[in-house]
Amino acid sequence: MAKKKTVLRTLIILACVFVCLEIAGFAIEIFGLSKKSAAEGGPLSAGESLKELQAKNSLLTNRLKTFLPKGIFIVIDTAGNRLYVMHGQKVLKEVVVSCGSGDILEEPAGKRTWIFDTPRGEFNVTSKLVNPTWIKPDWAFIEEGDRPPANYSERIDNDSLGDYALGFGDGYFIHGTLYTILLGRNVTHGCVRVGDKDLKEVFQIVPMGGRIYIY
Amino acid sequence: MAVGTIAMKAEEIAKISEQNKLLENELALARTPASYMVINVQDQTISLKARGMTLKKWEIKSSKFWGRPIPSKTYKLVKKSALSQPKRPNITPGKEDIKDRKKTKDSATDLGVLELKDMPVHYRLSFENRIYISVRPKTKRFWPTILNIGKFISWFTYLPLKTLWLTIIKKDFTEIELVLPSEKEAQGIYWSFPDGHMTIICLPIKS
Repeated sequence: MAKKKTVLRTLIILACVFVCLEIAGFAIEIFGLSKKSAAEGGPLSAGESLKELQAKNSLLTNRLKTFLPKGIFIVIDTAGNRLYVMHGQKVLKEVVVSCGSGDILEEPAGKRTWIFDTPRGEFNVTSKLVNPTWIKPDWAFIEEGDRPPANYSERIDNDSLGDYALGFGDGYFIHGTLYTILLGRNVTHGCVRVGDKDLKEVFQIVPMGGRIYIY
Repeated sequence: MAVGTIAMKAEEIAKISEQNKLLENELALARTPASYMVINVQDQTISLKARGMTLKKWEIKSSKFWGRPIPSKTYKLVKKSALSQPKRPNITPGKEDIKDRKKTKDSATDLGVLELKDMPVHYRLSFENRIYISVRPKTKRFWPTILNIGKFISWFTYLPLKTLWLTIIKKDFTEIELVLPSEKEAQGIYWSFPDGHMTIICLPIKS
């Protein structure tokens, strides 16, 4: 009985301490915050008038507009597997594509590792190819369980990339696919696969040097 | 009447000042080719931008703040953390499913790849200067709801204790909680937010 009472008393004391600490924390948050707000407050615009601020606002807005991409450009959403051909704010074409799988391939008994992500950021169309040939890199053989051939001709693949390809650097392309049923899924080795009909249109619309934004 | 007009003008000055600060920060980021995020709690939006152009925009359903108020400016994302971090699948060379993957017809099939659906819905974004943003979705599913309840309780129990401790050791922090309309949107933000990403955080102006 006495032991029970001691346990109960300890629990009550601990609960009281906990509540006190909580109250102290809340008090610091409420009073400390208002103090900080007051300290950081004051005029936001060190003496600038409303007119001056408005003038600065339109100047900054206009300056920001100068960075916007000019002409026709591409935006690729790797999460949604969508490609948008755009001009300014206008979407000229929306296409279902396949982007990088995010998979990792390690070379057996080797030191090389590949991560199959579609690169993100700002790029440019660096090449436009008709009937492109794929020179298969080492990973294409290793993935299939084969050894990369020493003979160059064994690396040539004329079928996989479709009828057109738009290069955007480092061996990455927007190209066609044999696996149209997988469009809309993240299955590629980093390139962006597009269906044949859509690819032809994208190829025709987007100029050489056109910007590509990938996110 | 005059007092009301002065108050309105002061409010407008504060608003435009804030907008100008944001624009100045954004101009610096738009000069570079890298994309950046703008978490504008005032407008209840999160935008992924590049060169001043909005690539993707998400809506914030509601938000909460705790701790030190922070000025609207650019912060660097240091770390993303989640209870279950998405794992990159490993390819086994020569394994049959590589070939199967190319033939599969079912769009719901798990292809052993990293997709949007694999991203977490509850996570925490840690920025420099001890700024933390917790993201959670509005959901009706059981486990995410349980997690949401846990987060709600911890907000009112853990944060006061953390505040007390950090005050004792003379440090402070900022905690922001963002609730998004759906799980998909929370996953979309996680996907689009790589580590090291520059982010403009804009909190509502305190009146």
